Amino acid sequence: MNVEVTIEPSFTRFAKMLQGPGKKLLFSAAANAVSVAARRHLLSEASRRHSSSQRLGARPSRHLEKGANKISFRADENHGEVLLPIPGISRAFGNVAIFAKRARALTIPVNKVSYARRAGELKSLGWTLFRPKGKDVLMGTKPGEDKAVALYILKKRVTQRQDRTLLPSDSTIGDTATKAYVMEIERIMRKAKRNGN
Amino acid sequence: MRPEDIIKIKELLPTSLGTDEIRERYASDILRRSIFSAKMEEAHYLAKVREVCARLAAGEINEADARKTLLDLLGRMGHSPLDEGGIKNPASIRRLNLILDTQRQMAASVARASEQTESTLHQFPAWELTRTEGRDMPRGDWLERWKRAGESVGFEGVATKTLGEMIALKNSPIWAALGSGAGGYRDTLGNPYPPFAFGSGMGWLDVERAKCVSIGLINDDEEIEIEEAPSLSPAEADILQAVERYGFQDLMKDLGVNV
Repeated sequence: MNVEVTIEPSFTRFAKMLQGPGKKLLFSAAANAVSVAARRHLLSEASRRHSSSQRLGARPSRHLEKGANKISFRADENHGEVLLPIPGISRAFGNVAIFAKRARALTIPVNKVSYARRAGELKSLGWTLFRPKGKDVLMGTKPGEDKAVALYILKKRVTQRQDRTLLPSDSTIGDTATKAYVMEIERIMRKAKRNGN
Repeated sequence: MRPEDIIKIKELLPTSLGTDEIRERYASDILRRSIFSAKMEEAHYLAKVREVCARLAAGEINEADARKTLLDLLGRMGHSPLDEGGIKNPASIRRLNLILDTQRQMAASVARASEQTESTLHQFPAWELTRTEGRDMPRGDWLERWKRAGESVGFEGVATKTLGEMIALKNSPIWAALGSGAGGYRDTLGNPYPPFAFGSGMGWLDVERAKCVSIGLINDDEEIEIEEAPSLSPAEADILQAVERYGFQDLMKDLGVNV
């Protein structure tokens, strides 16, 4: 998932006076600033989003926090991009439908033991997993115990609703980019003055 | 450079040494360049660790998938998470999480450091060390570590007017001091970037120029010292010429900026 940073309408006339390298430099400055803003925002949001783990009494996966630390950016002569290699982040921009890719069904954890864990990992830990006939649930027994507990609900498809608050608002992104353009222009003007250009 | 690119260029370092021994025997820069996993000498396992960490950094897989992949390979090598040995067991979940977390954090930090140019340093001249990932049992001594690392470098480039905030210029020697365990800390990795200690959830946040000026870390017309090019780059010259043609005041007016 990438967030694209493009020219603001108020900047278009100036941008037409630039060659490619100049545009790339400005887009880079803007994309960097937006990536910093996105990171701060996501870290702030992530600390409030542990409802699934809390409901199960499980340790949070912290995947949004960890994902925030992977945010980076790039730019070319046409636009800047903020790169968000975070599974699930695309629901900031719309509903996301998830289907099982290789397995026959998605495994939705319903127990703190299975939260943020693949069924195969539990098997490695000695759990015995089984699916009761006719049921869309994966049960398991812990090593050394007889009682089986429900570990996962099996589903063909899950839809995650859009959540735009995962990322900064469009106006924040726009303002951040504009501020970055200005700072970069001012930096270059100062450098030119220092160097006698 | 993206975090997954950093991981892909890392060398493999099979070794039978423990982590403390690795640190003492090898220079920090070799450690940084390598995917190290204490006491694992199987190069093909380390190659799989590198592949999995790169895919994790790229967001192609999540941590559960990463652990599953490594557990499958370790199982074929005769290791099980049910074996004894605690964190010394190559297949222990705690050890796998530590390896994945450490590699992920290191790659992200190096990628972020590689993004530092004249332009990015002008906008964000400093880092703040703050909690970026929660922990069940966070260390409570980061302010003390900061103080000791600061003392070891005479607080060069370190903000001293902020209460409780750990902020320093990106080129401050405090970062290397922190990573080296200044003050006698032995749980560090020897890197001048996060994570500054094993299992730490403390990371970097960029600090805006305006804040750096307001806390006295930098003057308004000061630039962070990196090897600044003596003349404008073609891209910078392009922008300067366009500004001169357009008119700076007119440009700021069009952008809605008060100057």
